[in-house]
Amino acid sequence: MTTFLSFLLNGLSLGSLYALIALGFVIIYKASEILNFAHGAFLLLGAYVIARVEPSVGFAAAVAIGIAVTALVALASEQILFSRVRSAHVASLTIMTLGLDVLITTDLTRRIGSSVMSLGQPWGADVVRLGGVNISENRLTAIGVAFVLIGLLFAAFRFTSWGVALRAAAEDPEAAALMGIRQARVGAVAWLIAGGLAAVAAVFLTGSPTPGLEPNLRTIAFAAFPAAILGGLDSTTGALAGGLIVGVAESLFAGYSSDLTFLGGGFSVVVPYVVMMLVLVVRPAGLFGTKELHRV
Amino acid sequence: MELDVSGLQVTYAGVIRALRDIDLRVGTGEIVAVLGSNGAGKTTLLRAITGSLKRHRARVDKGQVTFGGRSLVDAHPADVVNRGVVLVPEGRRVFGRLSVEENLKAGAISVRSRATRAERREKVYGMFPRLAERSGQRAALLSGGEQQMLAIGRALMSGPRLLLLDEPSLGLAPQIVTHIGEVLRQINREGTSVMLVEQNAAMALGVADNGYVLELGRVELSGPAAELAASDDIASLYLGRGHADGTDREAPGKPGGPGGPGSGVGGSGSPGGPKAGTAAQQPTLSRWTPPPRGRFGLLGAGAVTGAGRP
Repeated sequence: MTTFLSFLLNGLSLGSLYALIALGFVIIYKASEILNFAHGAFLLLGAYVIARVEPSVGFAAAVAIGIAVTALVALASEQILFSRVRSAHVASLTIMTLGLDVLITTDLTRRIGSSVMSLGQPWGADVVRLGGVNISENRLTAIGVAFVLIGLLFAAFRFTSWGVALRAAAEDPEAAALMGIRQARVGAVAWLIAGGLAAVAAVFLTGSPTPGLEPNLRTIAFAAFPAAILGGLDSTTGALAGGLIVGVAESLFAGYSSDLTFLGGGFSVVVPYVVMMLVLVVRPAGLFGTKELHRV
Repeated sequence: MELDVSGLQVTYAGVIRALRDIDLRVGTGEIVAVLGSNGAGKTTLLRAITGSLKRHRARVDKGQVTFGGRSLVDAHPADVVNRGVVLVPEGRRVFGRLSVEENLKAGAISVRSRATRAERREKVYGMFPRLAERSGQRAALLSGGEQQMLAIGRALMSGPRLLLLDEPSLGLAPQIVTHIGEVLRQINREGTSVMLVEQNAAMALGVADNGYVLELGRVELSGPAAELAASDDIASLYLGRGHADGTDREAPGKPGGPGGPGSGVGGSGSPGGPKAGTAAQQPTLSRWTPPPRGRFGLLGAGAVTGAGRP
């Protein structure tokens, strides 16, 4: 039972990080109808910046710088690449994000090389015992931070002008424009926030039990894509639910892998995609998605 | 502040001319009705005023649109709102997944001051008590009439000096249409000019000071609303069956101007509807039987007999 609880707690932690990434993915989609496949690259960038500047400025400042740089790079890519070609087909824009992803990832992979960089998290590899369940302090902090940020973000969707404008523009861009909503501005803010969230997730995804920053961080972050899709691509609630479902499923399959050898080793890696496919077969629009994803 | 449209010519995709040489004026404090059948260019005119042409791959070739002396041509829709011109779009277009209150907030996005927003919201709730009762509900759950109220309220949140409405009576019950007419008068009394684009001529000319009739992208008639209402053309074409028409219309969807005279006419829902032979004496509306090009379409119904070829 305690092992189960341990897997569950670790899964929730991983899932809340996936949710942070998936939320960024979803708000970008809502604001600009682009599937941003460069999101994993943003994550890698955030981690890299933090790891590089941490030795000289300390952890807290490094995280702030990492978040700022990632947010600005996300904003810059939107301003330079995507907002200029708004008339292009959405599919072309999505492929452009893939190009951006390859570009950033290749460069960072070269820079990181074969080393494992540390982001210098002050909690290191400490382990906390919670009622008989062991969990790394990193994972526990992740849950707290992720839920605070997600709470703030959800409040922003509901109560700020930006949030209302984002939801209005996602539903009916033309009517929103007629009400004086500037979609370009709403979109710019969305990219900023999404970039910042990716950097935050990077801090915890590179912490214990993960040894540190390796280029394959991007692949780990990719699990957030099926999370966003199974939740319903245009739903923030869906991103949260999808992230948690994928995180818990992955953690449970990894934890019980010795009992599941008939599935082959490392099945947990594909679990997010299997779950996504199962959900989509039953609910094509995702758990919380709106039925018609094709807007006119 | 007055709206002045002069010599306006608009072309879609570089080839389809939707408006030609339109002259139109909405004076300060006026209510102006713009009538016309489908494809007459009413919506295009509104797009030209609200800066939405670009979205529809259209542009102004010639002419001017000014509000308070400043050009609105090529302005961003948000700038048009900031200058005090706001549109209640056709089909209401409320944000269905947002609550009533959030819809109003979306309408007030150009308003910086929280106090002003709150004050306008209370005013809208005062004008439409039903919206206040349902402030927390998703707009998609409102009835058609309530959605139209919300669409009007949402537009008022920006504090417009000129309110544009695109067929607000579309698909609504007669008493709600009457109510909308009263609401527009009230809004106007409080100092907002109104430009009302309608097919329901009875209501539109009932509340308006002046009116224009568009046909095939041109202004075919204009003058004081009372005179237009008294004129024979308008009486037989728009007022004769004016009321029933508002509800009839939804059924076949958007016939889109050049649908061809013969196609889908029977589906309009009018019992035993006037077919080609009888169309001459009782044209319901020229949209089902597009008038021959180049003539004043409203009067051209006689020619339909010829058009209804076997």
